[in-house]
Amino acid sequence: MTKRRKITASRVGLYLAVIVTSVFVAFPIYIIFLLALVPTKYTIYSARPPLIPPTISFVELQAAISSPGFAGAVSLSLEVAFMVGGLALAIGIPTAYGLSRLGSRLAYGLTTVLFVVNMMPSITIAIPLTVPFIKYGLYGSPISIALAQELLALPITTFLLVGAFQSLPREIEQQARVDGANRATAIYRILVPLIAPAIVASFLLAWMLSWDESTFALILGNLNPPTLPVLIFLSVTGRGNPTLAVAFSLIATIPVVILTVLLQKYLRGEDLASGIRG
Amino acid sequence: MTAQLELDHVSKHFGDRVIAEDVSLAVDPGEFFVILGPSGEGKSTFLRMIAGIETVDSGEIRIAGTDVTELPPNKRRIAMVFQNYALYPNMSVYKNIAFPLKMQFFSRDEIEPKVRDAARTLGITEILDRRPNQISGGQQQRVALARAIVRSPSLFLLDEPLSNLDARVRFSARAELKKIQRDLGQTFIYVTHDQKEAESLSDRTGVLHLGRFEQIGPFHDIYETPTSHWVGDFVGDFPMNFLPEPSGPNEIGFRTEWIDIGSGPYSAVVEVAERQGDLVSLLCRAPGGQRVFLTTLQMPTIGETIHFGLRQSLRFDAKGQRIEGGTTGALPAH
Amino acid sequence: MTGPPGTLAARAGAPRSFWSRHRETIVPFLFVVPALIYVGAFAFYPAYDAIALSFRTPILSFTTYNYQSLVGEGLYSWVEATLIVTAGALALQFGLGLGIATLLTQTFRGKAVYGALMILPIGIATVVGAYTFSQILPPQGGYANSILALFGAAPVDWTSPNSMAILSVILADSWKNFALVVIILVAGYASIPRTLYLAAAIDGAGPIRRFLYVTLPNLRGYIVIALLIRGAQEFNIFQVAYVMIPGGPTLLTVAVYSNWEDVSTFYQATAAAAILLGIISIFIVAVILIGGRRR
Repeated sequence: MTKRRKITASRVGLYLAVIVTSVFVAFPIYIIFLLALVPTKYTIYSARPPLIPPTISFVELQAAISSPGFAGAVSLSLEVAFMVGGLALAIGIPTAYGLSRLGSRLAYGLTTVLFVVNMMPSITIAIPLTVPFIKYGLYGSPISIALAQELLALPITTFLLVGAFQSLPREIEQQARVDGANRATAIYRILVPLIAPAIVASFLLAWMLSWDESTFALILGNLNPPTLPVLIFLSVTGRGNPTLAVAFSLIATIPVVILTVLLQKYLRGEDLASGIRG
Repeated sequence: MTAQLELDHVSKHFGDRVIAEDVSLAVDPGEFFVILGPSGEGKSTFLRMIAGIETVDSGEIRIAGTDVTELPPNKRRIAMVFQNYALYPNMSVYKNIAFPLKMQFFSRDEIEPKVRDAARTLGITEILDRRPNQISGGQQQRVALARAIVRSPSLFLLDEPLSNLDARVRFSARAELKKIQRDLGQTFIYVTHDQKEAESLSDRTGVLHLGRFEQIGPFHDIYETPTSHWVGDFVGDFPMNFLPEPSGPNEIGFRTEWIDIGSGPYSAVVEVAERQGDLVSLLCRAPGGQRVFLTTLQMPTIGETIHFGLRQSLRFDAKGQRIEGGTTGALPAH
Repeated sequence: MTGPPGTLAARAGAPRSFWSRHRETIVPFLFVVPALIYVGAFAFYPAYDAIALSFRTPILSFTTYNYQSLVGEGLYSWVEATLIVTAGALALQFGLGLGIATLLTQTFRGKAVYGALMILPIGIATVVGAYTFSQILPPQGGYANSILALFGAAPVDWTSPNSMAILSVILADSWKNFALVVIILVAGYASIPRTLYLAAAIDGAGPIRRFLYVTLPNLRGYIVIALLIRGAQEFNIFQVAYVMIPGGPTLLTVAVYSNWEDVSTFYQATAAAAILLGIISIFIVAVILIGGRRR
């Protein structure tokens, strides 16, 4: 009898924890929708904004979509995000392969280098980078933003891919090479298909990091147009229309929410962890 | 006749770990050569060195007379079967077997009959459309073998290919492997720690210990006349028995089946007795504390003293090396 | 054939070239070289450049003036705020992450939906999260006060005093980032063999002792990784503080940005950036030393 009561009590505690954390996570997401879909007099211009909206309107959304800077910002953000995703694979796959095949001491040193890069403050790197970018006429170009944002994406995607390469038996690659494949063929024909989920996860992760990033994009972009996160940043810090920012926010959020759900399917935390440990 | 595989003073170390210590070896065309050694002493790495997956520190490796030391594995024209079979999990059995041919740029029309031929040889025609994770361990082993024989390599390297099989399948797999090698007439280099496999498969066996071949020869010779104490101890269902000579630093070594029980100059006390089929295996202790393995027909009592003589024995010096001329039936005086 | 034992060393094989001996290390290393060139050019060189620029002005080739002027503007309080926010956000995220990862090891109704929901904030742009929290936790009004009003409580200024503002920044940053800790720790939980729990239960260990003696030691590696990945990023909190609380606590990052925006204080900006880099370097060195000991 007491045991049963104990079990019930622990179940209650469990559900309570689930509910509290759910509310904590979901509430701000709910607010993003409110801000975008409720007339501003009930949201940002209200002294006590109502939690249940009295009415819903698409005026802000429509205004945001048709506002002059919007289309340019979205297309620049997309362009940069796909570059960052592509570069993450183009550099990350060979790097991860190399790291997974090196002796543990060398691999540890190189992993540490990448880790250090990941830890460097974006704002410290971004400011001196403006100098050579201006010198070589790259300043403000999508590729310059992508090359800087890649600093955030490359270490994480590499760790993820190292973990994936390491989870394959060594013999698979050795067999392919004995069977007549050179190293490049063995990687491309045999190993890459086997780590496809990690490759998808890496691309999505890099894409999302870029879509989210605003420090490099702010300092290295020419802001004509800015990327979407920078547009939002400028709008809410007194250099744009804050009522449009809320709608921009919702629009910026939707693709990433979809990707996050996709990512969850492909991302294996154990690959990330084992990749970092090298 | 050019040797099919030659190792010419090959050395290989990983830090303190010795894989090969100035090894020289020649394997003839069509020979089934077994590399036998204890687990964990780098036999697999030794084989990978021949395959080109591992490099060598010094010396030269030749396959069919060509120096391949600098060649990557894909240029060595070898086939290899790994212990875990290393089937490509994302490909069907058919595509697995076809892969080495594809890598040699055979056309689809040329590949198909070769794959079917290899599949027929190994009796796996039925499962060509399946994925490696949908077939049994025995079938996986056959697929790996089919993938090895589908092209005509100059050399087959096999790394304990039977060790992942059930004991019952293993016996027939062994017989089949030997038959395939004979039919192909090809050179096999086969690594194992299982001396049953060395005994039944090999034309010659090399006993590898700490990066050196302690002894190379037909398995029977190694069993009967081991060149060292270590080989005698390692090879055989029962390790060889060793007793010191009455005077001097040398010792005598003798196989269990060379013992005549009943009378003789030697004696030992029974410590453990175990019935195995018709025979009783005994672990005994000689007066000097050495262990002696004996077989009898009847179960003795524990603690009983058994007297025995030797039909035959070998002599080993203080360093454990066999002294030539010691293998006579004549008993050393006691 | 081997010769008789003892004569083997008579003629050793010719040693192979360096390339021949280390082929299987050199080639994989070559795969890493492009990435090394890239991070050298785009991360390490600019980091060096930031330090070099911080000792210059348009007319002076070497000066400590930039640093001195930062001290006058309140450098010490920026460093203090940065350290407090970093430590606080890391602690909160870790607590949330560990708790939620532990919940996700249990079975309950709606677990799949719950798991997906917990990951969502990662997908919401930092700027968006910052702006949303600025509407939840503003100086007056805002959604948090709307909730308080439901319970009849008085409204709160979430941006003042300074300590309240710092708490708000910590909360907003943690909301956005705790999910990465969850992902890593869930993987850690998955790596713990079930049999260990069974054995501990048979030995009579209750849930708390099972957590202390089975879960924590086995999660240790994963916990370290989660703290590392998030830890370094916490020093970089910028948009959240800048957007949420204009004129609020100045973090080092905010100071860098404000100085950079004003063309006349470009070199002061690089000095602040160099100090930020210095603090993170100390953290990195500590991590490497600890990591090195772990090996």
